[in-house]
Amino acid sequence: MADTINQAKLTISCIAQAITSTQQLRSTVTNVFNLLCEGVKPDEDHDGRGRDRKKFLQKFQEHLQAVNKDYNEVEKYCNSMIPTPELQVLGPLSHLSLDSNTDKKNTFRDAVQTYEWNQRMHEYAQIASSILLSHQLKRSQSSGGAILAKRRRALPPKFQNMSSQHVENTLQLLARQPADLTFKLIKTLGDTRILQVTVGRVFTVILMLRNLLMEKVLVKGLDEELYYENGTIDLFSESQFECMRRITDHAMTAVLQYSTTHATQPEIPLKYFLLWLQSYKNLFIDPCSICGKHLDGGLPPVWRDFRNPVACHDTCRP
Amino acid sequence: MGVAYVSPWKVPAGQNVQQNIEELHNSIEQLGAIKTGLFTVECESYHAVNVANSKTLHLIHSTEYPASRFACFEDGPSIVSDVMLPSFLSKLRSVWQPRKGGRIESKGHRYELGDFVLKTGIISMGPSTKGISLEVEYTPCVYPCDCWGIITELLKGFVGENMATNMPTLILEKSKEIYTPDITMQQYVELFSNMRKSNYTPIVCVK
Repeated sequence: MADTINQAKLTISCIAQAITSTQQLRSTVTNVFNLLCEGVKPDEDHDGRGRDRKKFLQKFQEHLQAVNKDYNEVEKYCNSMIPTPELQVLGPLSHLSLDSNTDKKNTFRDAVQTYEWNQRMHEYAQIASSILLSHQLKRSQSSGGAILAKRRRALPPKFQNMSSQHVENTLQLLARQPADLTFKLIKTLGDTRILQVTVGRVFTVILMLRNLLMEKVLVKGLDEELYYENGTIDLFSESQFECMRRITDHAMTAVLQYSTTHATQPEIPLKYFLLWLQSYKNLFIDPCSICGKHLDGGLPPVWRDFRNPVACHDTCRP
Repeated sequence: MGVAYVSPWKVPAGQNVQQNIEELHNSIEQLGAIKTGLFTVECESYHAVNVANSKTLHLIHSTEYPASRFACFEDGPSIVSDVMLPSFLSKLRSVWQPRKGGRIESKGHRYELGDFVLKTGIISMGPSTKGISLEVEYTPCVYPCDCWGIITELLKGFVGENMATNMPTLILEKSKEIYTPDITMQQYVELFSNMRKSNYTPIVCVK
């Protein structure tokens, strides 16, 4: 369909050029007739009749050549035009283009534009789908058709088959490394573990792990409630502080970033993420490394780059 | 509950309190703060009967903590209790009696800017107006030493660069501990005590 539209556009430009060349042909033909009407004029300077005739013939020849050239041009454009079946392809919608009120109402034009956008969206979706399919790590469990389901069965997600002891040991090792972070294992439900990580004197992070794969991050202030009244952990309520909500968003981005770029070993994304979290230990002390100020719209520098985690405002990102 | 800094706001010569507080509201609103309601901090002072040189007991009620009453001794310890404390003190009338003219309050508007809470109140003792109070609270942080830079930077936004940036003694003493609401109430007690004195110069100066 998009090809048809492009072809139609090409044909329209051909028609415009053909019209121009037809006008040109008409003008040169008129010149020929004018010349013939005027007939042989006696030369003012020279009296010889033979000379006049020669000159007339030469002029007549020139005009005929011009006519021939313009005719060839028109013929060339006519040949290059291909009959377009666009109206048949567009179906009943194409009848709108025949409506005499088309100039007043843009329904047909809008419909064609919508179709173009739709076509483009399909193209992007296909590209995105091919990129996602080529990626090794599967974060989503949603069904993507029979082929995807088959592939998933054939290739189970990474880091699934880990012994509980191995996970425990890795977590203990990780807990020792970064300074300023305090770890507390809140709950274990099979492969799922809920960790409470306190970053310096700044905030508390609730981290949900499936084996060593990070699934959810929630950042809350130090004096905020982490548990419901019945003692179960609250994994869904957002922080009441705007800066903590922003950090939660950035932390989720960091989880995705580290999980996709450092997926060679199971503990590496978690290790990188904890080091990134550690960079928030001076959230309220360090000014923005770009503008040198503490506040921007009432918020401290809440952004940390994933490679070089220095304090930076959301709006000052390099 | 975050870290709060309470300070008086100097009324320039030739201006009355009402005009000055409106200017202050304009400055705060220009920063992008949103008005979120009203607030009141009331202070009732008591003295011990038949005890020479006894310390004054201040009983404070703040609308931010409607279920609590704060009892602070002047330059001394403080306790946080429930709303029954005033009735309990009235039962102890033979020991603690309200001071004459000891009731003072700060009443005004409450603003929010990001995670900041700003409160501007007119301090009045009975029918007479004493001045203006300004409270800046930064809610996500609980350690005063960490967020003092942030608080002073916000204050400089509408007070001016010449603002004193030293931490008040009351906060400085507990700057590395978790901040508690009773420190805010002690700051109000100190402010009210200073306001009672006639020759008092406010810390925060206008531009």
